[in-house]
Amino acid sequence: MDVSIRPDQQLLVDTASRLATALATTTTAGLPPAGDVSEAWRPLIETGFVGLHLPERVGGGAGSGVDVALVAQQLARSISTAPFLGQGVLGPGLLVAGGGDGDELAAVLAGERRVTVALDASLRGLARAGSAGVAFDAAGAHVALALDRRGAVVAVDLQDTPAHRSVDITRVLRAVDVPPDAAAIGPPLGPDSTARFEALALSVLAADLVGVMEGALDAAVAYVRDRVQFGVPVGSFQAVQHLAADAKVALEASRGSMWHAAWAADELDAADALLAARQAKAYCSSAARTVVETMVQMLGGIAITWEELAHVRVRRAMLDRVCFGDEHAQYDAIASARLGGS
Amino acid sequence: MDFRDSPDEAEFRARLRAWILENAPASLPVEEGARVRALNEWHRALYIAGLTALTFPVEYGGRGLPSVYDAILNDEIGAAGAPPPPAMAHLTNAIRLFGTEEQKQQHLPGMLSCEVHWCQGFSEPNAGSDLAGIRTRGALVDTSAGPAYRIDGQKIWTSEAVWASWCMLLLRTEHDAPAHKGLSMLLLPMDTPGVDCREIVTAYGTREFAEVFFDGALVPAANLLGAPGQGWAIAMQLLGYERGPADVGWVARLARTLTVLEEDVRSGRVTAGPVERRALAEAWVALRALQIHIQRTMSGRADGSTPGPEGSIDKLLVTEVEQLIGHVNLDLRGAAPIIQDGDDIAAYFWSRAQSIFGGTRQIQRNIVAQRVLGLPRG
Repeated sequence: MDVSIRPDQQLLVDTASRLATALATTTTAGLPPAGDVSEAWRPLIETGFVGLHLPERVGGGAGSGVDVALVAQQLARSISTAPFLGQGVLGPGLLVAGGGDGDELAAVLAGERRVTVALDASLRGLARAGSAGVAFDAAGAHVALALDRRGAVVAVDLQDTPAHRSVDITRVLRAVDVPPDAAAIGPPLGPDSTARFEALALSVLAADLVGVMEGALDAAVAYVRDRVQFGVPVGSFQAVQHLAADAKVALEASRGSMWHAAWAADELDAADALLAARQAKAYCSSAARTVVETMVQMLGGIAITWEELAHVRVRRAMLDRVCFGDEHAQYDAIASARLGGS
Repeated sequence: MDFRDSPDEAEFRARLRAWILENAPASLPVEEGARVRALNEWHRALYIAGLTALTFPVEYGGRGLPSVYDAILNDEIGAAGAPPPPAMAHLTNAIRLFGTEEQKQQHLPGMLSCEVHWCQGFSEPNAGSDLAGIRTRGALVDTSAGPAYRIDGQKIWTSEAVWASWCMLLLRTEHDAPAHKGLSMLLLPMDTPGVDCREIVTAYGTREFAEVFFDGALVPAANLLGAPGQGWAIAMQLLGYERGPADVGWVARLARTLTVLEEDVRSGRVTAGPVERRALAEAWVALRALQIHIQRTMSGRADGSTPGPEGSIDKLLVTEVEQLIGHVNLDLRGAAPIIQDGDDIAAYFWSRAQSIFGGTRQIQRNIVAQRVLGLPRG
């Protein structure tokens, strides 16, 4: 057992961190509604982050679940708008799991064909044929993948689909209708493939939440060190220090659970991987709300302004929490898995 | 990063699991004397089976295994619902890190084998969170047997003092030095004349606390642990271990409460609707977060490093999880533990004590804010 970042993983973190800094959101001026979500796509292709976790035989980066999570965390920490979760991880991952052919995949890995996933209207799982769905992290994407009635993967064209005015202004959500007769790109996903895909999705969302928490706490701590009231930095007051300390505990416990889930996504059997991922997603979803709210409190009035980035972090956490189920949805699934019944 | 057991760890875990199944008492007696004896027999059995002091150096009677073995021990004991392992790493490591060779040879074997019981004399009526404010004095005097400290003062909240034969005593010996610099650590036999131990009954009816009074008790100066004036540094190191949830068996204790509750729900002894099932899942999620966090902490000590201020994160986390489990356990059990006072109420009160002893939750937050996050002292 070695629960630490290996040197090769640290190199990846360093690369991701540099990219995240380059792609950081540093002002709200360029974000919607004034601007557009920057697609920041080419850098993801150039660093090999699109399809990072796909096997070498299909041209992927042969990275682990942990690798993918570490990249997601860095990008979220700097509130990057690069659509890594949807178009770097989940879209390509579902395409391969669903039996997507070599040409389509080659185009995806080359960055020419951009594919994400469509979630159902509750955002708790993949969209199904014959219903309305929401294409996730869809800025610049060509297609979104959903499931047909038998559980096979189908592709929905995103051209001319309307964009939602989503809470998360760092990512684009598009309204899609999955046709009832959409053509499957391969055979139905088996229960193991489905569970493993969901485990990966929950793990990278947990990683995104950890990144959001990290960025939020860093910003809040930096602010209270400098902000002076009563002639002293407000960060010297215990009332403020204790908020920060509790947020730090929540962040560190989230980080460990997220690492475990990302590791388990590759290493444990599908049911255990899914349980580990539910644990991490539940813990991180609950912790993230507390941590971003703590950040708002520590920043004070400026956190309630559009100009300050605080609300952007809150917004991103809100979308992450709900996608593939918030903590309450996970608790119900965990209770069924561990206690039986429903 | 690899959460999977190495082949050695897996073999150890399998043997441990089988051994616990065979040897762990199903429950502990209710009557306190019998309970203390049964717990001690359990600890002795763990020692004889080579299952205590796993990560302690071989030359002092430990097994010399990597730190993660303590996490494995806690996980398996907790998962089996067995009583917690002995809480001693804080004291044994203090002697290992600061004792003379003679002190190590004299004391460590008895501590590790759970035959010689120790207590820790830190808190005083006027020195709780403000530990540097302690007033128990040791005056260096000459006696016919050589130099000795004459000790006057009072300790309080001294856990296990009534059953202990030795005390690791923090006292003021350097009377001209500033508060933190004037403290020393002394190894004191509890049967020293002038030492008076009076039990304090806990809120849940046990006698594990005591007040200890010192009235001219003489202890050889050779019993000093470390150098005169080094007491604060030793105390901080010791508290680092005491705050480590896997170092002193806390995580096994609270995992046990949840394991038993889940089993009672599965078997139908405790009924659970959707709200209760969700609460139980939330408690499990929190427990897993703690267990994984501890695996990470223990991996971080693979290079032989000792606990730093980050240990306060662990203490805050274990406190939060224990108090959550304390609530969920009582919520789900409903009237039964209220009608018949017993272990569940004791576990609940213990969970409330968790945010007080070993440095209150507020002190831990100060440490995290100031020494981990680097916020300025007020």
